This record gives sequence, structure tokens and C-alpha cells, in this order.
Amino acid sequence: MILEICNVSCGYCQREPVLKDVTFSVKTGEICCLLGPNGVGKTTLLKTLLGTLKLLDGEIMLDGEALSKWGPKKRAKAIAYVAQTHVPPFPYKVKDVILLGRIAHIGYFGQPSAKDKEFVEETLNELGIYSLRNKEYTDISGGERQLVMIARSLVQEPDFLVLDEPTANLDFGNTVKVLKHLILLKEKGLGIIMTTHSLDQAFYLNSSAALLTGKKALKFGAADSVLTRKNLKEVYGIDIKVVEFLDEEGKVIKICVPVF
Amino acid sequence: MQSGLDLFHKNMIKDRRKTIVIFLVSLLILVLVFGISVCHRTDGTGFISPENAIKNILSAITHKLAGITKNPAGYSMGEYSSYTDYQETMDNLNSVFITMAAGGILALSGAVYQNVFRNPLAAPTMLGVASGINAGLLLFVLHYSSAALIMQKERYLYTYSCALGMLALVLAAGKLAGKRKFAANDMLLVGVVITQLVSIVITYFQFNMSLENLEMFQNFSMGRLTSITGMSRVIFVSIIVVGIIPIYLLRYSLNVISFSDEDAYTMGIHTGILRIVVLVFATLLVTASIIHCGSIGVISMIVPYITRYLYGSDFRKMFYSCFIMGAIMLLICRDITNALSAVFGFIPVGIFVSLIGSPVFFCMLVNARRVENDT
Repeated sequence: MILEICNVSCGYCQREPVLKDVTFSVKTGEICCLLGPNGVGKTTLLKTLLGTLKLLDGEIMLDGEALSKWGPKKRAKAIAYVAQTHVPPFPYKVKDVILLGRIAHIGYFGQPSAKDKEFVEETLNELGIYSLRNKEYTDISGGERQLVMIARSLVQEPDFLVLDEPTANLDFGNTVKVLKHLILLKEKGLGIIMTTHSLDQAFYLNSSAALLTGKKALKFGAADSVLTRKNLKEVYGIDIKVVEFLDEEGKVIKICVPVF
Repeated sequence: MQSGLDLFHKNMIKDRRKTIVIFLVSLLILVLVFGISVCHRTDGTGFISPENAIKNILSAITHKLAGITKNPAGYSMGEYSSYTDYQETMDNLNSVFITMAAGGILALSGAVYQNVFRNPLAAPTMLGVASGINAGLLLFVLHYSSAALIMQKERYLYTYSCALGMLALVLAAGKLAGKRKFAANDMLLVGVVITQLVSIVITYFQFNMSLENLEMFQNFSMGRLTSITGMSRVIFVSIIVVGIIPIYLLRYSLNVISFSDEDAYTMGIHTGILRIVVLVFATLLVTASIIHCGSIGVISMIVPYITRYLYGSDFRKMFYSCFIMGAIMLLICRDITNALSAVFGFIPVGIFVSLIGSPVFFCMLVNARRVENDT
């Protein structure tokens, strides 16, 4: 399946769009990192993609079908969203939070079946957080919460996963844990779109990169071709070196280093 | 893989067993409290022996059954302890059932409000229905004066229309304040402002009322003059049925509302319509119980808090547990006020409920703050 963003303009009012004429696409089994400085429109683009913000112009297509004509239920079965973690005001159990991801399949008046519950248990196990199932969501740590939110979006059985800064506020270990899970999900055939502030992650995930340049436009391509010294200088306004080196096992590692 | 599935099933069964046990225990407590309340004399002067109470109830049942099946043998009243006792047991039974229903639906609508506003401190009375009812009563008493005592139908007309009018006013004003979007917190704030305004107006009129009217108004608003028999009972029960069915059907979706709108939308739920629907029906339930049973709204704030703590936040469990807990709590409050009334003179249940409600509410507030600071 392919998710195409075609000539999309998005923003909060028609006169002043935040982004103009943006075009890129993501296939299932691919990761696309949405990069750019603060306030450039990453979240706005995500919101438009998810349908919580109205399209100003252009069209978002899933396998040639226009998403703007879909209701939330149909959308939810195709695209799941992992928000930046927030805490609901009530002490829900972890398994209850994840079970809620089934609501698109259950409907307004339905009740989750035993099968739905089984699915939740399996997903918990797959993500390695089975021991959390009876804990209260309000009591677990940030990294665990991120994994729980990913689990919730997975039980939605989507084709695409949209994540808003999944590694913000996470320590080094948890960041890598979350990224590793994302790679596994990609290999399972999910399409992943995520925003991030860490340029290295685009290299690590071997993803395509959509770099928002701050002039209402976007540069899109493989991470290697988009994240160059020249482009980064233009976007972030500072010198950033893209360094490549071999580790002990001969694996190529690429990172971005700002020059002071 | 097979063993993994087995483990899942084992854990799922374990969880379900835990739920069943806790619900059975709470049902048992409800039955116990129910029994005590039925035997407790309404004037608070002691107890009817359980034996006699059961005898009276059985006699009433056979009598009723005989009426339905037209079996002449049952028309004799059968065995009952004494006629006054029989009459008292019957009145008491009626009041116990109404109390249970009122406690249950108040707690339930409180839980709905808390989920809709994503705020553990939101209460159904915050949207102005309580002051709407008071305004309605005031108009009613001012209009009919001493004739008000016998004008039951008109009283319901006044109170219901004023309560719903207030709700509409708050919703409309809230929508205006929230830039034409349904912003939950704006709604609450507007509700508080309008409630304040209305209660000031009510206070002004109270000062200028004749003493008889004032006494009548106060008795009405505390639920003292509202006997729940005949028409009152029919209206009350039918509103409960109408209000509770949509909430029962939507009980699982109500969980999603307590997450953010964006979250809910991407999970496939349109929160806008869902919110308004459950809010209107929950308000209807609260309005009915305040009109028919007096101002006992504080129950709706405390009980959901307790049930969340005991049974978990899943609204499927909340639905039943609020009903059980609300019924237990209000029955206990009723029994205690009855006993106290025998000593100190008439105390409305509403006053007692508010009296113990406020400290509990304070504890909740402190606790809620602590949770916020932790995260």
C-alpha cells in the first residue's frame, strides 16, 4: 500500500497556510522521518494527515483513494497514531488502555470480545511489556508508556503508523528500545511516519527523510541524499557535519555533529 | 507459542475471577444494607424484626399476585404482624427502592460527567441544573403561593423546564465562549458563572418572600414535601429508564472520551456527538433525582471516586459498580439521617450528604493534586 501526500497545503487558516504544496509518499514496509526545526509545521502536517485538521488544499491518497472522504472509523483502521505521551486523568490499567485501540473494530455500541482481549495479550507479549498488563497506566515510566501507546496503535491493526516524536523525553536506552521496535514493525510490513529532532535516527532507521525547510516547503528523499551539510545549514542555520565511520565489525555508521 | 497462549488464557481467567469476586462481595454488602434499611423504621425509632418485615412483604406479594391472577383465595391479606407495621414496611420498601435508584443514577451520571470533562472533580450539578431546579421551584412557589402544595403536575412542569432551560443556556454560552467548539473546560467555567448569577437572584427573592412561601420553598428544595408515590414515581422511573439505556449501550465507548479528542478521533470515535448525547442523558438522570428526592447531588461526586479506586476505571465496570456503590452510600446516609432526625428533629438527607461529602471531596482534591505532581 502507498500513502501519497499530493500538493498538500495545511495550516490553521486558509489565508496563511503553514505548509504549501507539499508532496511526498510512504509505502508499507518503509519508514519516513519528518524533520525540521521547531515551529516549522511538523505537527501541523501530522494532524492534517490524521484528519484532525482540515486539508487546505491538495489531497492525501491511500492506494489512490482520497482520505478526505473517509470517516474516522475507516481512517483508524488504516492509520494509527501514537501521540506524544500524555496521561489520562483516570488510573486505567495498561491492558484496558491497549484494549481501547480495538474501538474502531468494535464500534460505538459494541463490547470487546474474548478475541480482542487475546489480541491485546499477544501484542503486550510481542513488545516485551507483558508484565505491565495489570499495572496502572498513570504509574509506569515514560519509556513504558511510549511502548504501551505503540501497543494500543498496533491493536488497531493499521497499515500505517504515525508517531509524534516517539523518543522525546526518553533516555538513551529507552530511545534505542523504541527505535528497535519500530524497525521490527517496519519489517513486518507496516508503513511508519514519525517526527523527530534527532537527525541520526533517520540514518539509524535507514529511512527516507522529509525535511521541512521553513519556507513552507519540504525536501524529500532518502536520508543520505536529503540530510547533507548544505541542506542542514540552510534549515537549521548552523554548521552540521555529517560524519561517516566504520565500527569494529565493519558496519557503516553515520551521524550528524554540529560544529561549534 | 502454545504455552504462551495458555499463559494468556490463565491470566485472563484470573483477572475475570478477581472481578467476579469483588462484585459478588459488593452485591452482598448491598443486600445487607438493603435488609437493614427495610427493617429500620422511617421515623428512626428502632427496628422492625426481620421476621415481621419478611412476613409483611410476603403478604403484600401474595395480595398483589392475587390481584393480577384474580385468585379470590389470595384477597385475604394472609399473615402480617400488625396493620401499622404492614403499612410502614410497605412505605419503607418504596422509599428504599427509590433511594437505591436515586443513589445509583446519581453516581452513574457523576461518573459520566467526570469522563466527559476528563476531570475527576467535575460534577453534574456544575452545569447549572441544580440552580435551574431551584429557580423553577422559586417561580412555582411565587406563582401559586399556598396552592403550590397540591399542584404536583405544575411543580414538575416548572422544575423540569427550568432545569433543561438552564442546561441549554449553559451549553449555548459555553459554545460561544469556546469559539463555537465544544470545549469542556469552558463549559464548566460558564456553568459556574451562570449558577452563581442565578443563586444570587434566588437569594434576593428569598429575602422578599412571605414566611410561609419561604418555608415551603425550602422544604420543596430539600425534598421534604415530595412523597414518591403515584405520578411522581411513574415519572421518576420512566426517566431513569429513558436516561440509562443510552449510557448502558455506550458504556465501552465512554472510556475513549476520557482521552484527548485527537486521540479519540484517530482511534475512530467522533467525540463531539457522543459527548453531547451522554451529557444530555446524564443530566436528565441527575435532574430527575434532584427533583424527586431533593438536593443530594454530592453523591455523584464522591461515589465514582471510590468505585474507581476499588474496581478500576474501565467504564464497563464503572457502570455497575457506581450503581451498587451509589445505592449503598445513599441508603446508609438515609438510615443515619432517619436515626438522627428522631433525636434532633427533621434533618434532610441532602444536608447530611453534603456534610460528609465536603471533607471527602477535600481529600479527593488533595489526592488529585498529588497525582499531578508525581507525573
